[in-house]
Amino acid sequence: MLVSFSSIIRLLCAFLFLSPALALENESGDSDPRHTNNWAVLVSTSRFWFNYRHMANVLSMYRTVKRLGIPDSQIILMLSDDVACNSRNLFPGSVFNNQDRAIDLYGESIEVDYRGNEVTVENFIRLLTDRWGPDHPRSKRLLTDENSNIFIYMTGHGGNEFLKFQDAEEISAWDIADAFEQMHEKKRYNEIFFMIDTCQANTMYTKFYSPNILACGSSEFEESSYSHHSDVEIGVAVIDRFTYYNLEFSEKIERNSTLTLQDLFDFYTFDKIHSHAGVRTDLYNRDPSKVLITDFFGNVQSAVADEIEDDILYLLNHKEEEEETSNTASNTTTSSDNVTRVKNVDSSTINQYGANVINIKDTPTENNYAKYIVLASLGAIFLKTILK
Amino acid sequence: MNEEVERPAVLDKAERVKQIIHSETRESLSTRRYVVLSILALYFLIGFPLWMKLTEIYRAPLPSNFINMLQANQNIDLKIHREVFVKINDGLYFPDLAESTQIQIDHEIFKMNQDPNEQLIVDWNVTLRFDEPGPDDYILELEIGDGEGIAVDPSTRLTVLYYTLSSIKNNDLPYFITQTVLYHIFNSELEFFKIKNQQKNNKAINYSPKVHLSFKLLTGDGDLVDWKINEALDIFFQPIVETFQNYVNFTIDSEIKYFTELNLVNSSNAITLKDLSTIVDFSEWDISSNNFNYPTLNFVLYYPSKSVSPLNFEFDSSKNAFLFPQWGSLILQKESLKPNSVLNEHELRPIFEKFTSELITLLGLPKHPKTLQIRLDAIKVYSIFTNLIRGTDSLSSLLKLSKSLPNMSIPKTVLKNVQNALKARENTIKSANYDKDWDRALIESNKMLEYSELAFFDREMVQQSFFPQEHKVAVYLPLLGPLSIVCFLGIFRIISEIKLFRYARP
Amino acid sequence: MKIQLEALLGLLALSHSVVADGPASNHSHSINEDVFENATAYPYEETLDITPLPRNNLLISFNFNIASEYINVSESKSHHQYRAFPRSLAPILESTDTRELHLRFGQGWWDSEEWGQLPYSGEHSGGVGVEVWSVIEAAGREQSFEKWTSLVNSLSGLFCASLNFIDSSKTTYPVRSFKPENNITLFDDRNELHLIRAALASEPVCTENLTPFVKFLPGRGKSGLSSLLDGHRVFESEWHKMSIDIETRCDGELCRYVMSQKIDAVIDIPRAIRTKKNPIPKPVSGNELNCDLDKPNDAFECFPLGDSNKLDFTLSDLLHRSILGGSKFSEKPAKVCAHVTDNWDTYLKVDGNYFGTPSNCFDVTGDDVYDLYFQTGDSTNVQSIKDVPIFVSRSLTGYGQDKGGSRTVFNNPLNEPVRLLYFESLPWFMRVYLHTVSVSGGGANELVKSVYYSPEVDRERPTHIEFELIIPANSTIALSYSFDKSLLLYSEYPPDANHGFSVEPGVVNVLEPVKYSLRTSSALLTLPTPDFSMPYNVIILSSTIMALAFGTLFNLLVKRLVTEEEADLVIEVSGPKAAIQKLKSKISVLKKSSPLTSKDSN
Repeated sequence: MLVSFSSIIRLLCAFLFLSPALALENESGDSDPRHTNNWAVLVSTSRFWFNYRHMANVLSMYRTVKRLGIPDSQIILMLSDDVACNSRNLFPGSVFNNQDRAIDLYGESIEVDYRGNEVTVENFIRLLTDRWGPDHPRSKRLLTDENSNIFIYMTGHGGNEFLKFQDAEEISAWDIADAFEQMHEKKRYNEIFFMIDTCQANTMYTKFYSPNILACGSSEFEESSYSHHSDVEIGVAVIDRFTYYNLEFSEKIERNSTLTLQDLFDFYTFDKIHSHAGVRTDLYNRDPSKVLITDFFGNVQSAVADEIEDDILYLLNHKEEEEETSNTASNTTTSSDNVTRVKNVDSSTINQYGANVINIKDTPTENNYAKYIVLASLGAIFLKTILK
Repeated sequence: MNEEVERPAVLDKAERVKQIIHSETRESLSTRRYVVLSILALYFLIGFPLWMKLTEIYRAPLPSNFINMLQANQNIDLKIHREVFVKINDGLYFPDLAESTQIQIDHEIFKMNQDPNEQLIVDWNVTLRFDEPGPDDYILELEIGDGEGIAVDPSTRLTVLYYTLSSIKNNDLPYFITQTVLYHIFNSELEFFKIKNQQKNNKAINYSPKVHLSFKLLTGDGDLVDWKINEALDIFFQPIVETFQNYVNFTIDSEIKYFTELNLVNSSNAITLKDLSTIVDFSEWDISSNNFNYPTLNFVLYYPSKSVSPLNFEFDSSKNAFLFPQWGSLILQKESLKPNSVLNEHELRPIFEKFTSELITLLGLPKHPKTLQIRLDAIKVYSIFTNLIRGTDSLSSLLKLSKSLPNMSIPKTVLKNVQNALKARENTIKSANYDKDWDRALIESNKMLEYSELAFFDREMVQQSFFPQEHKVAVYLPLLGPLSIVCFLGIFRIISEIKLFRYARP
Repeated sequence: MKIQLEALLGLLALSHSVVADGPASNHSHSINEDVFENATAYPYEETLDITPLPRNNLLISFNFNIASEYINVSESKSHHQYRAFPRSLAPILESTDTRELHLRFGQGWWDSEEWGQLPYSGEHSGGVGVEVWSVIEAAGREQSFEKWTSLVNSLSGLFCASLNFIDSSKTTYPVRSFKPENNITLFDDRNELHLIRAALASEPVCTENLTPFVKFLPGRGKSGLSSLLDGHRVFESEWHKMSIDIETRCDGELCRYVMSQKIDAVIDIPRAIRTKKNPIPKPVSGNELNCDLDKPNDAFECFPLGDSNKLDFTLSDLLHRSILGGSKFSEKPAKVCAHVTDNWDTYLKVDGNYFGTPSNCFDVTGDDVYDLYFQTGDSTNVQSIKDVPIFVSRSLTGYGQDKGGSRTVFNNPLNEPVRLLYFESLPWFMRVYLHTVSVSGGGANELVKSVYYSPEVDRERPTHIEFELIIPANSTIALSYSFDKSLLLYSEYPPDANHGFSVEPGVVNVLEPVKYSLRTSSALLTLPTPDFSMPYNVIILSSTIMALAFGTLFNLLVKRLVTEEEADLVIEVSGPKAAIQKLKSKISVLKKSSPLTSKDSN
């Protein structure tokens, strides 16, 4: 759904007049009582140095959500290629999204969950539906529940209802829609905010059918999304327009910000982005003008003051003491039935089995010719039987 | 004139064509016909079914009717029947107390179920027994006292009901007993099962038989500090671990982290409760990472750094324990720790009292009555109930999923897990209804939940990793395409040949 | 069936210096009245060694040693206390029964000819990419492999590296190389110990791998020597390595983990100083050129000299960071040592003041900010490099897409023969023919003492070869063998398959006359790759072939052979042309009989 001009004006006015009211109201009325934690899934799908800007896009969003409070343990970052330590990178360990190189997105403390060849369509779907083998580490899983708001951001090269992964495979809008439906079935999210920055991005969210999903994309069907500018020294484009303006908006936000999603959507204009950004709200039951940006970009780990009972241990210990005075002879032994004895092992015996150490003198040298003769004779026999 | 000349030529041609057609031997004609028929037969009767069979995705037959029935009637077969053993002291004997009290209790529960607000979602009942109780049973002692009153022992399941001689005269005893049993002993348990309270409690984590507790000492400075955590855990916390061992097993670790700072925007402003969500920096503190596949609760004792100490609280600094729903608890101290200081057990005792109270809330235990065992009993039966519901939810989600994605394979392991889940459910009902062995029922209900989660989150059920439809077409098109076209064109040829024969009939 | 191996080969002399739990520190008492005890220092030590290398390079070596708390192995303790040892690592080791773990991350190339031996005799420097090997206690090989899989998957989450790609097709069970030096303790003597190893040569190493390293330390990069670690500088070096070695040390029934973390980097000093001024390499402006005064030099001509040998720099010029205080967690103060010759002046800079010591080693304590200052008039005068016992280089030979060869050249510059073990783990699609092994520069029978060969099993096991070689004094030998390349299944090709497949570096462990360990470079193997962009063409081509083959067969069997004239005749009578003619005639008949066409002449 595109946002019409008049509604923008109306909403802006409403925002200006009502913002003090909103600031007060936020505690009770508009904060979603079912929402207790935030997750972010940030995916870049392109390979090769000339797609530097896609990595910069994702890292810009990473920086934003991290700055606003989402911890690394709740961010899944998928970088399909290594640009920071790429040998072509003039600034090792740094990724910039602006030619003024003011912000280093890679920073000093970064946790990349999936990198390189791990970023595949299969892994992305598995991540969303949480279908992994038993050894998959917790830090690489999306451990959301029905109280989680998830911000999903994807960028790369895309087209009509597909997104290209690693220049080798594609994910279709149907796949993502089905994955979201599975998540909905298993109550793995409270709300999802899906943002995508590719060519023809808006087609990717047309197939969603699960509730509580808000989606926005950078360009319409048959429209391309453009990069913003290049850095002459790095040699490639460093950021895409849509994400650049997202970042410009987000840099103004602090953790206690009261700006809403509608403000973000109103910030997108054709003049800035050079394509028609789209928003889909029909599956979302809240009004974006009442939803705080920090509901998705920040981490709501709100504390609750609880009534403390400070005598439980006393009671239990007291009871223990009483019991102790009465039962004197009951000594619980801690030894378990399985005998575990500590033993020193000579490391020369490790991997001893199967150690066939052969002397090179003993290796028979095969005769290649014998092999060929046998094969030729077999072939001859075979041909004879056929032609008979 | 020309026409007449042509006619015989045309007729001639037609004659010759007929001749040509009939010059074929019967044998060769029938051979050709048989060849065509056999190729078609091979194609349709053997090839096509074989191809369908080989490329079909294995979808195990799930017991959908049974699961749908379970989902529709939530836990209708679970019976939670409690027993309370009544002991009458002072040598008295009330012959009809048992019957009259039981009638009152049953009536009270019936009334509760009639009221749409107070309705219970499970079949719950309590029976009074007058025989010898066991060591872990609920005991209600009737004792003559100065007035009427109830005393619940905070450390055992014993309740004493004081009555006077006038209560006997007024025949109030059954009423008192009913009130005691339903609204004091089992009050929390009943509250769990009331239909109005079914909104999920956001603070507590979902039940899990193993929970990891992580105690952390965080200090904003980089000076060496220490705490006698092992001793404190052994002395204070061990009784809790033992009390809870039938409900949940705890694994515990502790660590100390330095240089953990608060995000104080303006250090002169007083810190309010609302500020806590912004000044606490979970990301920077790096305390949430672990690799356990069961839930973790974090208990953080925080001392600010010298540069910001003492902290300016808006709230009372003795009420400095905060609960973060489903995550853990934070105790925020006002002053910083001196370098090289060691927190001994004496100092840790009040900290642990606070942590224990928060732990109880985080596990979902009710606040009343004071007796921990009774609270545990209440949460135990409620967990059994919710485990069964969650398990059934998973299974019905699995069914829904399998219907909506017809191209997804359903491996045998899924069927096995579903069957195990249903078997575990059966065992739960048996343990609860017949054996009244709540510990066993809890274990079985947990198994049911685990199996149903395993069934739903099976690794193989990812549509991508199996044969997508488009690929099937792409791979078999070179084989089937030409074959089909050639065969079908051949059939047309045969039909036109037959037409030709008819035409050429003499 | 078991063949007795020779006695312990002390290959890897792990040089740890573990600090035992010492008594209470002797810092001043705090005034808090409740405290009557002092916090004990952690079993933690950190050191920094700086060694100038020839050609204006500087080797910076960080070393962090941490030990965990003691645990009683025979009791099952339900709670663990973590003080210095990282809480994120210990449960992984415990749940997978890992007794020893060695991890190596590295990039760059060590110039052995210029710089001599690798630091620590190469024991802590892995090859390019990521290497991991561990000793796991398990009942049998399958159980040990399961635990290994669980271990590498957990490590992949912890270190942000794609270690989860390690499966059975990349895992080897080394027989003679990588043997641990010390005896290892079995916690349950019904089990056995298994040494398992894998490497990923094409794995990039970047800040996300450095971050967990730093997080393991108690100071977390905010105090002590770890405050110098910055990914931007470490990864801009000529060569860098990060290593973690964890061992289980037992004292009877009490065991604990002892971890040693090392980061080494070789920095080009003039380049680093230039980069600090301006990160972009631009040509030096005319007035800053260092012209050779012996040659014509004026405003239009200049023969620029190389980098000057006079150096004057601080550590913060190179690393862009200073040392933020000492380590308050360890008993011994953090130690910074510069291994320089008398030609160099080394000072510790604190608060604008410079301090020197005769040994050029400094203890860093307290809360001040420290920096190191170096000055020399002749940077070519450095401590003599240790002679490398062997130079190894490996390359792939041959051309074409169906076979190739590998050639490893060993050059012994010493005056005595060198005995070494050469370990190679080659992917399964590189089908090695052991009978094609040839050794030049001497007979194979004299130079190759023994071979351990475990052939590959497709998609399950790599080729595992361990040669024991004796290289005679002052000689060069070349070990070569040929292999076949194989086609992979369509789905097994990674994205950008034409880039090639990386082959792990070969590992050389020198046994005599010195213990030394080095790696060759990794190799990039180009396999025959299909053209992934042409599935439709493939479909059409194979459809055509099938149609031709089956169509011809079908027609031969089903249709009747007649002569061409007869066929023409039949077609004339009953073919499509005839049918059209009939249709036309029918239409003309209809037209004639229709009243519309009748010409009524009026």
